[in-house]
Amino acid sequence: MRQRGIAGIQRAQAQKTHFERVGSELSQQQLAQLKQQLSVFKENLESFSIKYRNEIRSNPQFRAHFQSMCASIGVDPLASNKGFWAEVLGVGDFYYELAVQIAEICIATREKNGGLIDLQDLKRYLEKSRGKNAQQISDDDIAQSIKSISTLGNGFEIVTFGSRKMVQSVPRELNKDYETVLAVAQESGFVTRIGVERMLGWDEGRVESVLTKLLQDSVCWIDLQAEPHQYWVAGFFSQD
Amino acid sequence: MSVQPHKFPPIHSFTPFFSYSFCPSDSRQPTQETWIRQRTLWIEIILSYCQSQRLFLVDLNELAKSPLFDNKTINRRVQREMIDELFAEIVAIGNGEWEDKKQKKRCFVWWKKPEEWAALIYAWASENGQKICTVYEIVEGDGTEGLEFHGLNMDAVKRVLEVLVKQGKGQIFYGSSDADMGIKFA
Repeated sequence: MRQRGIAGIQRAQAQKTHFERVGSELSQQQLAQLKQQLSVFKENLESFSIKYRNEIRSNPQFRAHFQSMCASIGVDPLASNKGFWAEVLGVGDFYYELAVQIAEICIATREKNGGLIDLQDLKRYLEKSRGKNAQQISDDDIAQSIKSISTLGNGFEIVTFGSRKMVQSVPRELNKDYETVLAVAQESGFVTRIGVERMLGWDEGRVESVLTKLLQDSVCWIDLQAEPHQYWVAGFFSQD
Repeated sequence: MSVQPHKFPPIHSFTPFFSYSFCPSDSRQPTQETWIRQRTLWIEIILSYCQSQRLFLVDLNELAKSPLFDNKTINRRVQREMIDELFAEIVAIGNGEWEDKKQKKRCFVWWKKPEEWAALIYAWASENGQKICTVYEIVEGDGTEGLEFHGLNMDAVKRVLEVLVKQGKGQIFYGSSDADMGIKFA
């Protein structure tokens, strides 16, 4: 039987209110539970980090795992230099320091690589400048540091070309084409116009525009004495 | 000083910047920023080549055929126009001086600047109590054997002596031939 009139409306409203109340009670309960779980987790994480403080500081792999564990609950040991985490672990300082060193190297080598440095080369430079007694660093540490400075908006970024990871320090919009061509180049260190055309099935204009841009950005050098001309990626040829 | 064959920094590879032969280094780069970098690297290489070969005055046509610019290993050579550009810069930064200002084919290469040579010669003269010497004694004499300026090009040494005159450290006198020309140290 259909309910009409005021009584019907009131009943429906009462039902709705009831549902809402139950719903919010439920979610409040869940929230409280979650909050509690989180605080337990945080506590454990804190005591864990104190216990394994030395391990975290000296073992890059361990540090990476710790980092991802923290990230999953929204704790960022990097966020503040003064916070609990930094005080306990000194990791804030660690990444900050590393970030400054990374920026220095990227800027110093910019002229020769056009602002695109191989991650492994960067690591070698870092190890050299940090000296033998410094903490070991991993690829992940570099990635973390770069993430922490990328928020400054100065264009530091890790880009991947095929199997090669590179750190880009010049704000530059690497469009998809640009990346694809560099990925092709990372095999032999250089590409030719015709090679790119054939490999990617692009038309002349598309290839031309990417290669021209790579030259203009000083990312590539051209070998005019090769037939056909070769475009060499400076950042792929590094110091040993 | 004896001349050893120049050991190129796997040159044309631009070491220490590139780990092996980097072919584009022999082609003049069209991008200005890249070219400036390329030019700086090349000038370093040219100066160190001339120093190791003890070249003081170079003929650009000849130099173009030398292993410096003709890299047979990778079958690349630096074009004459680029060599001219490189030497224009070498002159501009004071590491070179045209011997023929019009044709710009022959250039003194000051891998040590004239002032540095002048200082070396003056120091030698002071230490050995030399008051008057001929150009020949300075660059070919037994007394300077083994010193860095021994074997310095005759024309180059004249330029160096002019520096000493300007600095008030000597006076040039002229003889019947170039070799008789000399300096009286102050």
